[in-house]
Amino acid sequence: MDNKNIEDTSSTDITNTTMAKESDTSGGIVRQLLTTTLGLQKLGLQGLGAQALSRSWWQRWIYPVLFLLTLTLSLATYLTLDSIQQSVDTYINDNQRALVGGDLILNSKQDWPSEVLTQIDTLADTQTVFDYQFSAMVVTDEQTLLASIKAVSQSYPLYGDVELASGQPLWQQLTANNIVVAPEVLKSLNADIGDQITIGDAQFIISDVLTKEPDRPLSAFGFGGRILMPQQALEATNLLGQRSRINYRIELAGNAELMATQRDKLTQILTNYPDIELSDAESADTSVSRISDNVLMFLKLLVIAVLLLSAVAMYGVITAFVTKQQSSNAIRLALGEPLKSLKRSYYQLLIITAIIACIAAILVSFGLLKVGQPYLVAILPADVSLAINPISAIKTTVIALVLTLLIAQRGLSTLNTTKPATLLNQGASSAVQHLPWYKRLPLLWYGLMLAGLYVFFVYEVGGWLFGAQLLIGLIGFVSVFWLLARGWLWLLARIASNAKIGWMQRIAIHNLARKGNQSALFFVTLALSVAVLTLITTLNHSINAQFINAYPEDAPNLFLLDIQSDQHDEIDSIIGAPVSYYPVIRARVVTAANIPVQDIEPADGFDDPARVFNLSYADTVMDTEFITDAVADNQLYAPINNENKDPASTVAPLSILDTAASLLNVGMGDEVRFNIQGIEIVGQITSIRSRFEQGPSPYFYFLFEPAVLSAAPQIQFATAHVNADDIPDLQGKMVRQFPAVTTIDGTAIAQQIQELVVQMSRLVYVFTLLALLTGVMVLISSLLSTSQDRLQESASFRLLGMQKRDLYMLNILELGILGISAATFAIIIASVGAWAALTQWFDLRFSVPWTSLAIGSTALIVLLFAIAIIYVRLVIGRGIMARVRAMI
Amino acid sequence: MTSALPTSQAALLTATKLNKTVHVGDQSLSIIKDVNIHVNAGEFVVIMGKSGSGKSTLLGLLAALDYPDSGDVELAGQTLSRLNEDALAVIRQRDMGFVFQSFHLLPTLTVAENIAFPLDIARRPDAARVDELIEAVDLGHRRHSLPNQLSGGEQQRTAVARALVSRPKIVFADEPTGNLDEQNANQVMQLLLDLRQKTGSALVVVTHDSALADMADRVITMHDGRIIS
Repeated sequence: MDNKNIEDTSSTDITNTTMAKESDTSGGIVRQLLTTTLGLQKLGLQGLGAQALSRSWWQRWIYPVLFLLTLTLSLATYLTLDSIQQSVDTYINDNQRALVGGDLILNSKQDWPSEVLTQIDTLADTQTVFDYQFSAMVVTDEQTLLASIKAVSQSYPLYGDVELASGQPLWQQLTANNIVVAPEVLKSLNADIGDQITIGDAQFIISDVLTKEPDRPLSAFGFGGRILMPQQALEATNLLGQRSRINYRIELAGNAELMATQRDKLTQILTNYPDIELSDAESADTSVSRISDNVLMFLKLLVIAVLLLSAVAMYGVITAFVTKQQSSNAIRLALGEPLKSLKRSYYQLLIITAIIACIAAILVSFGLLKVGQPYLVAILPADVSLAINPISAIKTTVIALVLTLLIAQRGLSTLNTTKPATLLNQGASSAVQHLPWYKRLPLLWYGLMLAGLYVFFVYEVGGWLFGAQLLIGLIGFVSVFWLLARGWLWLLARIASNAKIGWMQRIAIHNLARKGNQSALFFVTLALSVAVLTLITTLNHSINAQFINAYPEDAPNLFLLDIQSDQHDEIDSIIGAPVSYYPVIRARVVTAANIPVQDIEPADGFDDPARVFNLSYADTVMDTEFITDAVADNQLYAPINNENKDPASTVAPLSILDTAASLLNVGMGDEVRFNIQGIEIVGQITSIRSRFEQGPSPYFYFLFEPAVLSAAPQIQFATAHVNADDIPDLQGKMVRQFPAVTTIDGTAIAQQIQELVVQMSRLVYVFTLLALLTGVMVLISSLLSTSQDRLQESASFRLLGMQKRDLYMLNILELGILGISAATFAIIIASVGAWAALTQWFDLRFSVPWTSLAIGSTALIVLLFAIAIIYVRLVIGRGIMARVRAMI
Repeated sequence: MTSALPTSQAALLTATKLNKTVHVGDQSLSIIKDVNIHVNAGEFVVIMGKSGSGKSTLLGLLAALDYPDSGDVELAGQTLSRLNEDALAVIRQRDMGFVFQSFHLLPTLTVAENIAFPLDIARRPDAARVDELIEAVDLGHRRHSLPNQLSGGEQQRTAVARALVSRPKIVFADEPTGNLDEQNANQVMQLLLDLRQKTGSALVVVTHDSALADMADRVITMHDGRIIS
C-alpha cells in the first residue's frame, strides 16, 4: 500500500529512523535516563525551538556524554588539585610557626659564637630552643640503622605539638636516659618500647613512639627515621664534635616587638658571621611549601593543559552537533525564528550541560581526593586535611562557564552562515563566500581567548612574567604542531594526487581533507599528548638508566663519613676490601681570576660560586677522571715560581674540574683564592680535569698537592665496594667500633630515590593519560561531525559492489594514517626535546625507552583500530542499507 | 481546474528584475535571469519547468529565504530584499507559510508542537488554533507522535497545518507532493487548498505535477532561469 511512504528515503527520515533505532540500544537507556533526570532543565528553557534542540541533544546521547566526560574529567582534576593546594596553603598558614619552629630562626653549620649566645641569653629559656640535627648510626643488639637524630632543649616545641603514641607529654618521656623514636625506626631495628639503643658512646631506653612532629611533616624526603633526644644527653654520645654535617638551629618565640628587637640586634652581630642564616616565620622556607610550590604547580600546569585540550574536544562536539542539526536549524530559520533566538537556545543548552559537568566534577573530585591521598603521601603532610575547597569549587565553575561560552561562541559561528534556502530542492549549491583571510579569521575571538588565558596563567602562577612565558611557550608549542599538521596534510594530499598509489589509499588521504573532519585538530591534540607522554617517559628512563640500572657493578656501594686519619687501618680491617679515602677541607672562594666571588656571573647560571666548596688533595687523577688541559703534560700540577714572594702571597698549583672552571669563568693560569676557616690560600690552575661519566663516584672541583692541605682542618670520607649482602653486618661492626662514623648503603639510597621518582612519575602519567583520552574524544567528535558524509560515501561504495571488509579497511586506513603519523611526529619531536634537556641542560646521558615506546605505540594502534571498527559497525553499518536503497 | 476563490486585483507579492548567480567551484552559474513576477492576494500560482530551470531558486527568492543579486521582491508593499535577517524573520513568522518536499518537520517535536511552532516563535500561542488545525488535517489521534512515527502523508499533512497555523498572507510550497504516492498527494493538495481557502492565503507552488497545474489560477513556466510563459 503505502510502501513508498513507509519506506521514506529522505535523509531526514534516515536520520529519524536511525534515531528511532537508537532507542532500542543500550544508548537508548542512557538517553531515557538523561531525558527523565533532566526534565528539570525544561524549567529553564523557553520556546519550542529550544525544547526541540534540547531533546535532540539528550536523545543523541553520544554528544552530551562526550561533552560531559571531557569537561567533567578536566574540571574534576583541576578542582582536586586546586583544593589540595588550598588545603596545603591553609595548613602552612595555620602552622607556619610550628613548621619552622619559631618566630625567628638561626641556622648554622657550626657551633654558635659567644656573641650570638650572649644575645640569645637575654631571652627567657621558655622562649628559646636549641636544636641539633644530624644523621648517625644507631645500634641495638641485633640491628643497625642510619637515623636522623634531633636533640632539643627543654622548651621544644615553641609552636605546634609533639604527639607520642602513649599520649603522654613529651618531656615526661624524654629524659637524660630516655629517647623517643619514629615508628619506622622501631620497625627497622625490630625493637620495642623499653629496648636499649646505642647512639654514639651512650645507651638510651626507647620510652615512646613519636607519631607527630610539628616541624618535620614530610617523610619521603628525609633520609632516616627520626630519633628525638634531650639536649643534655648529646654530650654523652660524644658525637657532636666529630661530625661534619650537623645542623645547628636556635628557635626563638615572642611578641612582635620583642622579636623585632632581637632581629635587629642579631642582624648586627651576624655581619661578622656570614655563614649563619637568620630568618623569620614568614620568610623561612619549609619543605612543605617548597614541595607544594613546585610539585603541585607542575601538576597544575599539566591539568591546565588537559583543560585546554578538553576545550578542543568540546569544540569538536559542538561543531559536530551543530552540523548534525543543520537541517533543523534551517527549518527554524525558515519558519521565522530569529538567528539570535536560535543561538540563545544553543547557549542555554550548553550552559546547563556545563553546570551538570560542574556538579559531576565535584562528585568525582570527592572520589579523587579519597583515592589519590595515598599517592600524594610523599608530597603532603600526613595530618593535612584534604577536602573540596569552596573557593576552588567556585573557581572551577567559573572556568567551566567561561570556557563553555568561549568555545560555544566559536563552535556556533557556522549558524551565521546557515541558509534556510538549503531546504529547497536547488540544482546548484549555495554560493560560498569568498572572504579575505582577515575576515574569515575570528580575530576578536582569538584575542579574547589569549587575553583570558593570560589572565588565568598569571592568576595560577602568581607572576606577570612567568604567566607571559607560559603563554608564549604554549602558543609556540601548539604552533609547531599546528604547522606540522598542516604541512603533513598538504604533503599527503600532494602524494595522493601525484604518486602511483592505490585507490584505497588515495581515497583515505582525500578523506582527511573532508570538510568537518577536523584532521588537523585531531593531529595536534594527539601529537601534543603523545609528545608529553614520550618526554616524561624518556626523561624517566634516561635518569633510571644512568643512575639506577647502570650502577656499575664495581662502583662503590658503601660510603663512610666523618672518618679520622688515625682510623684507616682499623677500618680497612673491618671492611676487608680496598677502601678509598678522600680528605675534605671546606672552604669558600674569595676571588677567581682577581674577580671577587660576589661579582662572578657563572657561565651556566645554575650554581652559587659563593657557597662552601669541598677542597681535597691528591697526587693522582681519579679513575673516573681525565686531564683535558695541563701545563705539564698529563700532570695535575706543575711547579710555580714563588721566588721573591712573601709567604703570605705563596701560590700553590691547583687542579680544577671543567664544570668548576665554567662556574668561576676561569682557565689555565688563572688564580683562585680560597678561605679555609679564616686562612687564605691561593691556587694557580695548572690542569683542568673532566669526568668520564656522571655516576656514583666522588669527585672534587678543586685539588691541591698533599703538602699544601694535609695539615688543614679536615674530615674524611671513604668509599668501598663490598658484597651487598655484607653491608648490614659491616654497618653494625663499624658503628660499634666507631660510633661517630656514618655508614651508608649506596644501593639502598639509590632505591629510595628511584621509588620517589616512580611515585612522582605515576602522578604525572595519570594526568598525561587524561590528555591522551581527551585527544581520543576529539577524534570521536570529528568522526561524528562527518558521519553523514561518510554514510553517503559508504553507500555509494556498497552500491558499486565494495565488500564490507574494504569499507572497514578504508576507515581504518584513514584513522591509521592520521593517528600513526601524528604519534610518530610527536615521538620524534619529544625525543629530540628530551635529548636536548638531558644532554645540554642536565648534563646526563640520553637513553631511548624502546620497550615503553613499543608498548605505547602498540596500544595506540590498537586503540585507533578499535575506534575505526566500532565506528564502522555502529554508525556506517546500521544506516547504510537504507541509504543504498534511497539511491536506487 | 481553477480555484473557487475570487482573486484580488492588487498584487500581494511582486518581484522585479530578479537576478541570482551561484558559484560552483571556479564557475559562476546564472540561475535566475531578469525575472518579473507577481502574485495577487488569495491567488493560487503554480511554477513549472524542467529540472535546473531555476524554479526552487526563484521560490527561495520570493520567500525571502535568500537574497537576489539584483532586483526587488515586495510583499504587501514592503521591499524584502532591503531588509536584514531579523526583519525578514518577523515577516516569515507573520506573513508566510512553507511546505517542503521533504516535509522538514522538527524531528524531536510532536505533531502538535510542530504545528504550534510558528505561533510559538511569534510569541502568539493559540492552543485552540492548533487544535483546530490538527483536527482539520485529521491527525487528532497522532498529536503526540514524533515525525519518525508518521507516514509520509501524515508528515506532509502536519507540514500543511504548520504552514497555515498563523494565517499567513502567502504560502510557498516546494514540490509538496514529490515524495508522496498519488492518493496521498491528492489528499494533501486538497487539504492545502481547502485550508488556505479559509485563511485567504495566496499559494505559490513549485511542481512537476501537471494535475496540480490544472488546479491553479495561473501557471508560470520557467526555462533556463527565465519565465517563458
